[in-house]
Amino acid sequence: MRGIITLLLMGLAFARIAMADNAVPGDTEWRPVASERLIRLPAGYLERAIERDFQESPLAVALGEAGRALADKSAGLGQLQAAADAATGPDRETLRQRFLEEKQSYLQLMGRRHDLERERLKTQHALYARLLGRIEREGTVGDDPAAAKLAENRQAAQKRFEASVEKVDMKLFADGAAAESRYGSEYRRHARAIDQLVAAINTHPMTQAPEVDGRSVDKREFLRHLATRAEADLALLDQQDLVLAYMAKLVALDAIAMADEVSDREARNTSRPETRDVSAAVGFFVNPN
Amino acid sequence: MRGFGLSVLAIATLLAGSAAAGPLENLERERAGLLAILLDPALDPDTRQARVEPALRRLVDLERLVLRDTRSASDSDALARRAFANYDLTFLVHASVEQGLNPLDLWLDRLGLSSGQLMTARVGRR
Repeated sequence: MRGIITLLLMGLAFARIAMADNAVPGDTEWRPVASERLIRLPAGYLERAIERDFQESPLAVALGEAGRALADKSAGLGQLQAAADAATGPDRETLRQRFLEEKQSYLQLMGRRHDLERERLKTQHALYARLLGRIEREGTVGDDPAAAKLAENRQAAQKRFEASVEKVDMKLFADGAAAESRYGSEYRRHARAIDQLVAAINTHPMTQAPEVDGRSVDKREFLRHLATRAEADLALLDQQDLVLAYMAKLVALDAIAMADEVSDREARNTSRPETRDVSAAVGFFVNPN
Repeated sequence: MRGFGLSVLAIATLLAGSAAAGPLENLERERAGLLAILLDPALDPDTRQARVEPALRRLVDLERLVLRDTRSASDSDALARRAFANYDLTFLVHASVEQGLNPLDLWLDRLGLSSGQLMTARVGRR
């Protein structure tokens, strides 16, 4: 029994070393690419597209498996704890030992899950940073002074045109209504159809600007928000690791206590007769032979 | 199915960014045609007038197309920048009617080729 508990303690020590080493095996990786397609996707759809890419990766499969194993282990732990509490005699000892082993196994599984989760969050954070970098390098219309100047000139031209359109009709066509060419009417018809489609696209739920704290934000701000959230999740994961470390310590203490308990009992069972107080033997000496 | 949807969305997004020859290019070509008619010394006044009227009508049409085209609002190439930077030269017919000038006079004036400027010009080498 004592040997088994020693092995358990060694196992716990190994589990703690494994928890400290965050390396994730190569077959459980997720390597998303900050592609042109991702950058051009509507901001509201970006997060879902990244999540779908993740779900198709070996890392997601490994995380799913770890999650399922943990759920099974948690259910087993509950049953084992109840059984150990209810048992008496040698059965109780055996069940307590099994409970300790299962707790150790649970901690190992949880440590593995944390490693995978950390890998996911780090990859996600790096992807957001790369996307943000690309978007900032490419810039937007608002950042381009030439585009801003063009927009200003276009607006001024439209105002001037609207003010002179009637005068032109009267001067050139005399009847006040210019006859439109075939090209003009066709172009106008198509432009109207395009406008309707563009309006439908702009109001489509998939193209709605994402919201942060109840206000609409652009793609850059949304990516910054996602990166910040990934950082916060990483910090929470570090805190959960600390919880796990304390759990491991408690299991180790339980194992030591149990080992001591077993050791004491074995000593009692195999011990020599208790040496009494020396004064109890006085009678042997005071009477003459 | 999801992959197909994503591919279609990506292609549609990329296509929306590309542009073929649009009304602005047609406007430039039509205006060049009108100026060629107006400047052609081989044409007699009646023939010129007969050819100018339909050309003006087409040009008015195209100028309105460009000015009302919401799609070209996202077009920020050099042609669009140059065109909207000079309303008088780009929208020649509307600008000339607005200012009570002949299109050719307005065009020459905006290029610095008015009678007064030509009379005061000196012949020299550059």
